[in-house]
Parts: sequence; C-alpha cells; structure tokens
Amino acid sequence: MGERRAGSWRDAEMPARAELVDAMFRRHYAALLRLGVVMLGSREAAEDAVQDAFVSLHRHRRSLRDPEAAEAYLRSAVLNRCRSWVRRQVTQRAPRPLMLVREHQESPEDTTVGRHETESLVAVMRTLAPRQRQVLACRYVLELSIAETAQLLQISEGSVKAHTHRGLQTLQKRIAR
Amino acid sequence: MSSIEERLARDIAAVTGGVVMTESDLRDAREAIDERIDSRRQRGRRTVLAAAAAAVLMILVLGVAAFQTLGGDDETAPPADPAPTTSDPEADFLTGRAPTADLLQGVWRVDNGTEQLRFSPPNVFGSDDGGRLFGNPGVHGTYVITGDLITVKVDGGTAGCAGQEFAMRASLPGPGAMRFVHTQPGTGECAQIQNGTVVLEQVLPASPTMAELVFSTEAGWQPLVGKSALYGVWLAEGGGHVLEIDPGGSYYVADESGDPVDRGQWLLRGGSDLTLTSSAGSARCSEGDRLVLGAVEQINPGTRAVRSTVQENTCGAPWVPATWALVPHEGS
Repeated sequence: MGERRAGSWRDAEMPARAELVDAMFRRHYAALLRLGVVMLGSREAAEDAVQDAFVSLHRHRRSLRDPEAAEAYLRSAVLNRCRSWVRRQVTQRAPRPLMLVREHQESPEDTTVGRHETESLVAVMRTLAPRQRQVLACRYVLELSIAETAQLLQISEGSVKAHTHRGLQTLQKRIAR
Repeated sequence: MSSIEERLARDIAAVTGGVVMTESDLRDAREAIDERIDSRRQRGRRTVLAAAAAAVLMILVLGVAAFQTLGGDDETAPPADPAPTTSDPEADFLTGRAPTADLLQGVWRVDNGTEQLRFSPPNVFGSDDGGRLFGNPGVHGTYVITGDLITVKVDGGTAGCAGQEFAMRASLPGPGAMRFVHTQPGTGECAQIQNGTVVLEQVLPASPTMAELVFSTEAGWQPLVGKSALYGVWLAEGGGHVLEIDPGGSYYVADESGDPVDRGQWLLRGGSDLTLTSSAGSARCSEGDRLVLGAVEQINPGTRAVRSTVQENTCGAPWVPATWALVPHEGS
C-alpha cells in the first residue's frame, strides 16, 4: 500500500516538474540569457549558466513556494553561476600577482557579442567587485527596484544603495582615466 | 538618473539588443536542458545502484569475516576490499596540504583583488574588502580548524555579521597559495556562495611572486596626488611587513605573524611628507616615536606603489623599505 502510494506520487510529480521548467523557460529564458551575456561577455558561457540554473530549478522545485519564488530562484541561480564562472577564470589565472582588472578574452566563435562591446561601460562593469556587479545587474539589466534587489540578493536595502553608489562611482572613475 | 547611470543603461541595452534569439536557438536550448536533466537522473540512478551493490558486497564481506571468526579458524582472515568511498567533488580543486594554524598564519588576499584576510595567533580571524584589515575590518572573529575545515565565528566588524558562523574547506596547493570551498555560508553581507570556490595568495609571509615584485627605480614616478592615494594595505618591497593607512588617521604595521607590531597616527604634510607617530598601543615602538618618510612619490604600472626617503626613524623600525606595493581591495 505504502509502496503504491509512493509510486503514484512520484508519477504525478514528474510532469509537474517538467511543466514548471517548461513554463519558466518560455517566460524567462531569453531575459536570463541577456543577463548572463551582460555579466560574462560570452554567449556560450551565458547559455551554460542559464541552462544549469534551469536544471537546478528542476531539482529543487519542491522547496519553492510558488512561481514567483521560482523566478527569483532562477535569477539568483544565474547570478551565482556567473560569479562562479568568473571565479573559475580567476583560478585558471591564479599565478598572476596583484591582478587588479581582468579583461574578458573573446573567443573567435563568440559571434553575438560584438568587439565594440568590449569598449562599452558593460565591459568595465564586469571588472567591478562581485557584489557591486550583481547589484548593478539587478538594477539596470533586470530593472528591479531597490527592495526587490535587496530581497533577491538577501542583503539590506541600505547595502543595495551603497553598492550601487560605489559601483557607479568606480565606473565613473575608470572611464575618466 | 545621473549621466553615468544613463550611459550604463544605454550600453546594457546595446549589449542585450545584440542577443538575438531565434526559434531554433530556443529549441536547442530547451533540448540541452532536457538532456542535462536526463543525464543527471541517470547519474542518480547509477549512484543508487552502485550504493546497493556496495551494500550487498559489504554484507557478504562481513558475513564471510563473521563465519571465519566464529569458525575458530587459526588462519588470519584475508584483508577485505576497501569499503567503497564517496568521491569528493572538490578533490580536483582542494589539492595539497590541509590547513594548520602555522600554515594559515599571516595576511592573505583573494586573487581577484577584492578582499584581504588575516589569521594570527592564537586563533584570530579578520577580513575586509576596503583596505582596513587591521583598523576597522568588515569581519572580525576567531577560527577553528577541524581536518580541512576552517570554521569562523564572527564576533564583530563593520559588515554586521557578528554572531554568525561560516565555514570553508581549505587546502594549500603550494607555497603561498590557498584555496577555499565555502561549505557553510553566512547570511547578508557574509553570504558567500554555497560551494563557491576562492583562490588566495599569501601576502605575509610573502608568496614567491609577491616577494619578487620589483618596480622601476627611474621612469614613471610622479608626485603623490593626495592623501587618499595612500589609503589601504601596502606590502613592503621584498615582503616582511604590511603598512595599513586608514582614512581616519590611524596606521598599523603588521609582521609575518599577521599581528600589528606598531600602530599610531599618520599625517601628510606638504602633500609629500608622511609622518607615522607611534601610539601607546604599539608593541615594538614607544609612544611618540616618529617615522618620517619624505618626498613620497607614486607609480602605477598595473600595481600601485609608493616610495620615499627616510628622514627620521626614532624607533629604529625595520619596516622602512624603499617601496611599498598596494595590496588591492574593492574599488582600489
């Protein structure tokens, strides 16, 4: 009896999980990919991060309260994966001493991210400290409010304002050089 | 909206506008996600089967061993196969030696240039991302090492994490290098990424690359552009000591123990003469001792540095190199 109930629960769970991933994919994939491209400067790396976030959503669906929580989960997962990707890049370049600014190295097959983009403020944004980068991405790519950004990154609204201010200030300084 | 915000928004729009998504792209992405989910599911099934097989094997091994023991056989039982172990997903990253208090002792920097850490006796931990590691760090607390796990208990700091506990697995793959995997992140300003990896380089005692940092003695030096150019943690050329200059007027000199050996107040006169006056809390100098560094100049060939000439050194302080290199912090 117990086994049969467990079996039927599992069977019912699978389509629900697939449906959730499907619905979230249709609604959010493109926007999340754009977020990833802004954060990483590489479409290939962004696709990898976003797809990995959806796989993670599929695994953790049961711990989410509602579709809104799923949306926040995806955004947060993409931001975290972007940060990990940058850190992995750093690991590969670890022997370099006192590295101040990382420059993105565009791969030849990276066709959608134009070379002119490396000249833009977005490229400078990628060299900011991780938290500043995340806050600016939330505010100017996802267009979230201060309160929404604070909730997504689990920091205070005061910290969001401070990181935004410091990030913009650093951008200003770096382009003024 | 300020002009920098407008420009950022415009540049972001230009980048995102270039991300074209065709129906075929979407279909490929959806299929890629399904493939990843399937492959993960299959891995999960294989793990379950492997675990079940291992359990059966273990029962058989234990059964044979019990039979031989109870049977009173004088022959020594042959050694059983080693029990299957769970593979460590971080094994490729966490290579080298496990952390010890001796190996951790000193000052470290996160390799991406955002944060500095200190471990000093008996079990003091500090970290900061604003170049105020000794004066007013973001996180201050104590640490405990258990195996390869470093657990930090936060008791203060400007980040507002007091009362929190976070932990990371660590390894030292070579001289002056350390790696972390965050296994128990904190929250708020101390919210590291679960399983996020961090690479660190030792500042004190200086890693081989830090110790070899040299700056041109001739071209490129310029007058100091203002006292704010001095803020942060500076490594003495060749290693041995760091000097922290805080915006509030305090300075700290730490040695390879990661502990301050001198502290006091600093003053910049005439835009180029830096005076460090020891306070009563100084461990190596007397209150009122002065180190006057004249004609301070700066250079920035990718790493900022300052140099000066010693005009007065009443303490006989050994931390007066020709050049100091800035250890980067967030926004520096």
